[in-house]
Amino acid sequence: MKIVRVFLFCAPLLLLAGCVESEIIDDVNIIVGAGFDKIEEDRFIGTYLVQDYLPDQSIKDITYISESTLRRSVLSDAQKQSSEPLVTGGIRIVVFEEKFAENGIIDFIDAFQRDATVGSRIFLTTSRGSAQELLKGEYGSRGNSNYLYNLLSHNINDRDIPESNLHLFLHDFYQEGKDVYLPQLHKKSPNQVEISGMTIFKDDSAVDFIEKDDMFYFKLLVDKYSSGYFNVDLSKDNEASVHSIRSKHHFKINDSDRDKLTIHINVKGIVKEFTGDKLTEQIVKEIENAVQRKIEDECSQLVQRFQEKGSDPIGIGKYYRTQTRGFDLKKFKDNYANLDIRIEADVTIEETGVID
Amino acid sequence: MASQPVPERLQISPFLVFYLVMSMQVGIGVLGFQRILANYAGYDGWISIIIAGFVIHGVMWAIYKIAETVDGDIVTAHEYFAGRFLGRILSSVFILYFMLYMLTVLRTYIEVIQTWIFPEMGTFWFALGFITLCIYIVAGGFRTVAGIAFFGLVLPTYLVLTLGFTFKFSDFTSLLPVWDHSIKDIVMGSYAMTLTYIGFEIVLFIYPFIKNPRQSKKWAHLAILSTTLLYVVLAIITFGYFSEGQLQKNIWATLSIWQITRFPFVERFEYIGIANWNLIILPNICISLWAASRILKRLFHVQQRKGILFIAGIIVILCSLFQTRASINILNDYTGKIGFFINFIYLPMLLVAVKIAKKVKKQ
Repeated sequence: MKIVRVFLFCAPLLLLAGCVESEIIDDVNIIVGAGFDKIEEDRFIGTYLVQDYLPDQSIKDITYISESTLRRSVLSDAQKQSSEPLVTGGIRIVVFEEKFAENGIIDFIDAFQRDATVGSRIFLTTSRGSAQELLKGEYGSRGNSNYLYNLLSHNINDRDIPESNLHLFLHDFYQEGKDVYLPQLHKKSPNQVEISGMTIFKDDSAVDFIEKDDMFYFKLLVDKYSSGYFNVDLSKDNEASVHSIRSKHHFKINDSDRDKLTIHINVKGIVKEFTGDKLTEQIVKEIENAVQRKIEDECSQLVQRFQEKGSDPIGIGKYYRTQTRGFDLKKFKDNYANLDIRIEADVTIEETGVID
Repeated sequence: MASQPVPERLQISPFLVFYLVMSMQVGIGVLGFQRILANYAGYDGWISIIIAGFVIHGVMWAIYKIAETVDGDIVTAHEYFAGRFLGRILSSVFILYFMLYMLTVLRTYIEVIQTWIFPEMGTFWFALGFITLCIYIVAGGFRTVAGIAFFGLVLPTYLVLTLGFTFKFSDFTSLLPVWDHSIKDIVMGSYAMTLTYIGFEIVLFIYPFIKNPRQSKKWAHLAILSTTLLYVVLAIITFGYFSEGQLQKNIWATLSIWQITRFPFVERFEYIGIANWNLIILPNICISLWAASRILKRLFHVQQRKGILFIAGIIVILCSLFQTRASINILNDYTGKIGFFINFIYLPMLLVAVKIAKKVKKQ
């Protein structure tokens, strides 16, 4: 009797086993990267990057290309070329060509956001030159997607690229009073890629571009905590390279005049390189001052540029929102260009390495 | 009114009330309450949660007052002031209420699996499998159900830790300025929390099964306090992690948070989290299945075993009738509304009625 009961209890489980579609990892093609290029008005090319694992543990990159007017139909078009079903769960990087990005990309990102199998940590980037060409390069045996992903992630963690991923993009995009930005990749040669700068958006269209030399200053402005490297020229043709280990920024609205905003930037750094005789305490002071001036200059220029373009990647609008009851975004936007924004940097050199 | 007292060997220790109440409260609402809350009270929503928590403490006090006055469960209370016939009609409404509760929890959970993991999974088959497990548990008696409530709450607690992954990407200044919404908005937010909060009324049904019920009071209140704290923390983490516009796009914010979680051994955490949620909703279904069948037994003298099978069968069939997001949303909406009426309007009224009846009987 008991056995019968146990059987009756287990029977539905056996029936359930065949209920859903199975996806066996050897029998699917996992998309690891995607790229979008504009060819003419309302037509674009979608490129999907798939990895094939070879017996010697290296990875072969395969791309599927199709042309369309709708994002979903690109994928279903690519399905028709693939011997195994294409699945989106493994996607790690999405590249938008520069011109493509000028026309707005949120409709394309919607699909990645809606798809539950796509994670929040994937990177979105723009590309100088064709996204398809970028994905088709030969960047070593670990596969292009891994190469590009690692390139971005170590530069974000230790270098000059601001924090960026799908979640942060969506966070800023849907945040009142903040605009989005994405790193830009540039294929220098068939097997070399560099991060060439940051693309600045207004709503979801690219409007401005920050060169890679200015990226560190940009990161100081947009990331709450950041680290990175930069060089300063000193008197007597000396040069120093400073590694900022910790930096913090905070905003302060002037109490009497709410159109005046000060951005305080605190940087704690160490000297990495110095081309001079001896690094005396006096020169350390000089470096501190030089770095401070440079940060103030460069950051002010960036802020002015954003005000002229009407884009707000720093999130000044958001800061005003948190400080104002009954915040009126439209009024703020009209007034954005007239805001008087000042930068105040405070630099401390903590260490100078193992030699003077 | 006469119901023989529950023998001691079938009763539970007072502290288990904590697990019964909290595991009944924490269920399917937790997965996505943030969006609905923010819809009314914006990012001041966490204040709404605290207000709702206070109100529930009050209702819990009323529940114990009712149970102590009549020294029994809700069926006894109904017969106490409304007589045999009317009392039965009032009590039988609660069978439907618990069935609705079960239906909402189970169907919404199945929807989550269907959107996040297996789009093709059949509603009927999963419901059947899950309900079979519940029948098995409830057939073991009330003490087994209380045991499941314990495990269903304790085992998944580690999930709270995974929320820590969000801190790197969070900006808690989004919560500023505090009190940027009117009192009305914030109270509406509390109202919107109903679906996430309900389940505590179970005390009124399990009361005869508690050993030394007076001692269980503090555990019941502690359960409500813990649930409130859990929801406040979860709301603040969510508000820091998502921007307001972004949150409006995410139906299940708690699950979307897991999309950022990554371990070296598992790339994405939602699958583990959703599978674990099985354990969280298991006590939800088991307790309400037990409660519904218990009322059925008390009212119509149906054998509890038969009652369980009957109710479970209806739930499985009803589950398959809801097919789209829109219809499930309506189901959730109505359960929230009905839950609000029963818990926050009917139960206080019941206390007043019972007190009046007592005065009248004394004279």
